[in-house]
Amino acid sequence: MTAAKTARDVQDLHLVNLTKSYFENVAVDNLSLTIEAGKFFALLGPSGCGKTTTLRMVAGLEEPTSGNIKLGPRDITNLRPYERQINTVFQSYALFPHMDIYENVAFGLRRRKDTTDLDQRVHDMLKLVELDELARRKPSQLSGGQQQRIALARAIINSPDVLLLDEPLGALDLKLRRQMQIELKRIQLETGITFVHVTHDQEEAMTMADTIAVMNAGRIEQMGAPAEIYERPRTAFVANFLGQSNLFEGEIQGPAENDCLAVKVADQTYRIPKTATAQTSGRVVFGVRPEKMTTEDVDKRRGEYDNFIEGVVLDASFTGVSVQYLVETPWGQELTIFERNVDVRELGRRGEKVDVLWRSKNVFVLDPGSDINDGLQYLGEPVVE
Amino acid sequence: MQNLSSWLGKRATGIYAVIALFYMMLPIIVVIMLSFNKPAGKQNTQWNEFSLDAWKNICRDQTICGAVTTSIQIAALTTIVSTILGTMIAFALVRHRFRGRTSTNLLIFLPMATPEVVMGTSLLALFLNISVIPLGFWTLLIAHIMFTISFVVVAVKARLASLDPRLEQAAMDLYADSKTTFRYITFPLALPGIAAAALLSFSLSFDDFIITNFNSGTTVTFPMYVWGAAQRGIPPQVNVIATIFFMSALLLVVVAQLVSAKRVKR
Repeated sequence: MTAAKTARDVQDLHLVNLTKSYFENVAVDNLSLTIEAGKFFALLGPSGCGKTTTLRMVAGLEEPTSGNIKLGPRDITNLRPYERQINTVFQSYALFPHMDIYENVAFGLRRRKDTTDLDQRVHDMLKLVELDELARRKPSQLSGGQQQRIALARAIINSPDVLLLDEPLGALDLKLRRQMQIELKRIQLETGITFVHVTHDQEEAMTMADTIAVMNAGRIEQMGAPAEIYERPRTAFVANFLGQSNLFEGEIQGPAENDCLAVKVADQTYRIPKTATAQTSGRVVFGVRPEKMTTEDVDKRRGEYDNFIEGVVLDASFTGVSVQYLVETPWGQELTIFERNVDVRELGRRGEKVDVLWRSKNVFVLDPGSDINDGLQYLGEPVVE
Repeated sequence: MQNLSSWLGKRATGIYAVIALFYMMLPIIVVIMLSFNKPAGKQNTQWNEFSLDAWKNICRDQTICGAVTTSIQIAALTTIVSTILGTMIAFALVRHRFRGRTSTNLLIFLPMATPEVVMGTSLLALFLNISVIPLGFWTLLIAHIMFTISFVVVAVKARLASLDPRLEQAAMDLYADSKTTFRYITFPLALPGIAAAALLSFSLSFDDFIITNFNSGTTVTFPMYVWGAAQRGIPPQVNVIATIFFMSALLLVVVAQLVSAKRVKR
């Protein structure tokens, strides 16, 4: 399996100016990206952002309105689904109900008349997903997690150039989902196949993917390694959709000490690192992740941090590993703070005055003109669609 | 008393089911019983004496077996033609968007909603007016295909509508072209619906009296024979034939059940 993979060189997948519109509705808007061969790539976005449409175009199940899809140097835009070396794991698994597990897995190889050692290969594949003993069962006799693994086996037995996964874990419960995430990552590493994984679950994307592309309204907002886009989101949508953020809007006042810029928010002055932005004046939007802020009794440890806000506790909830605070700033903005449960401070009470502290090195700056509320509507959206 | 009412309470559904089944099966049991009767007079309605005469000489009256043969021939041909045409119509209606689709849907329902007397007379008027085909076997066949096709369309359509389109997409994704996808996925999955439709059209055609009576000319089908015989006295051979058909249907159901039970076990 792995040998076959290295013998045929795997190809990068290129999407070039890809657009798909249904009448006036633009589902995918002039999308261009390159997915590196052998990588685990995640397309992350809320439902209706065009990620599944993109996937279906790559599979050949939808026809792009314009643009091209290339596998290496070869243009595959107009190939029929069965002419592409690309396989899909469907959200509903789409196992053939009238065939047993063995025949389901053997389906692709049989259609391609690639039947040397068929029996051996099917059983090897079933062993890879640890379900060999169920070869003669019908799909309806399997649990959701087992069906999911069979759908995966049925696709990767064909050693495709690219494997597409359309929310494959959406129907599983939380525990099984975590288990399958690890399993998927293992299989991807073992087979070396390029995985393109579509999901709206940001934690799932960050756990598994080498590269994440965050999609919104048919466009890519930001693309990069999970840690990179988490630590340095460039748009408010990414900052709010991928984890949570406290975003501030202010006016740059000029340079400050320690390679910082002074920014005026309401009537307070804060510091942002010079390296985080190309801007030197004007309006700026910056943010801090909730876990990088901490609360303290008023005026107690201001010296250890270079930024503080004196606010009022609106809510404090103890979750075990952390305490989650909601604090109101003097100018009426609500901040979320996740405080690690280490330095045991007495749990803040509603209405109590506290200092919210953070270091300027943990500040990220968004592209100019960002709307700080962008992407907030998806907060608390149920994980299972 | 307390015990009796709680005993009844627990088994009420079961007792009700047995009574209901018995009520439904009673006429059939009577038919089967009377096939072993040696009627005293002309009418075979009262139990007289056990005998296998009727079973030994089913075709003693030649017209019975002729009528049965005609009915089977018409029903078989009707089933083949209307199953094929009806399945194709169902596929067109479910899978394709075309001009006149909605009106076709409506027209398909019409033969089921029209009283058979109306349909029988209008078909008769049609056949007499065009007078290309004389009334008889072929006009019956045309009439039967016409009214069974709607039932086939409805049965197959229901099956196709419940078929997940992603199964076909998955097959295409796994290197099956359109023809192969139809052969390995679409057709096998639609087959139960098609088989049910075929059985339905066979029994509808075999059973039909009203439309048949208008358009038969000199041809005699089994229901027509029974109707005619009822005036003079129905011979027990009719009961024998009814029993044979009932048993064959029962056998078919039992075999189908056994096969699916075996599949599940595997």
